[in-house]
Amino acid sequence: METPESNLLISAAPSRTAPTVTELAGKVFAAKVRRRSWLASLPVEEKYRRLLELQRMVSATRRAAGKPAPAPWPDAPAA
Amino acid sequence: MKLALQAINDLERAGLIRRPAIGGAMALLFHDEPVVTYDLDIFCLLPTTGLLVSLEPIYTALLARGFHAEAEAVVIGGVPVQFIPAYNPLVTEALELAVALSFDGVPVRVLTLEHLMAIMVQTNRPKDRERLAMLAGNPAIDESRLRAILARHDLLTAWKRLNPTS
Repeated sequence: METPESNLLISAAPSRTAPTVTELAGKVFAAKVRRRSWLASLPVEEKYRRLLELQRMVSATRRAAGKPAPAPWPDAPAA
Repeated sequence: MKLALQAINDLERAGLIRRPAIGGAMALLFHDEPVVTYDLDIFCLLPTTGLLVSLEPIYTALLARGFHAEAEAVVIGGVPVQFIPAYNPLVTEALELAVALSFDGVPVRVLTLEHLMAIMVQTNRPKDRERLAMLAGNPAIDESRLRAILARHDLLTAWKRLNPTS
């Protein structure tokens, strides 16, 4: 999957024993793209669990910054 | 969220809403990576025909079940649910073509990824543009289907403005 981040990878670079900073950054960006693709492929119930985690993190961060924070949704799905 | 989805299905069975489907950021959960959101948007058709429409029967039914209102939303099982009646032909089409999925064993309809994107192009808020950028490169997008929807609803020019290389 071509992305702006993966375009950072140098093509036809001569082999070196140590990667350049650009190569390292390219690898990091490529890993981010792979992770996002993996997240998208998770079952929706698992994605929902991660959404609740994100809500908690965002709310905690906003409270720490003295900003109003929306209430995270409750954990356990009520029957 | 399971309780909210069950309550929405109950509203449909009672004839208070038709073809409810998850839209907005929660719909993206079914198609892409999780993004932070604090609302569950439920697009729906209302049984009332004509110019006057009201969400009051929906709110009355839910409040009678012990849920409470918070601004324009009804909080069901801790989840603020906003009911959005179909307000134009694109949303109506999106509801008619929503896909049947399930969440934690509860049947649910979800707007297709292509309809979600078309609605974002149409609404064009900064948040919509941000989400469209995030979706770029998602292999689940049916490009020809998306273009057909955009063309049907006169959104190709707007799409090209957001994606100059497309």
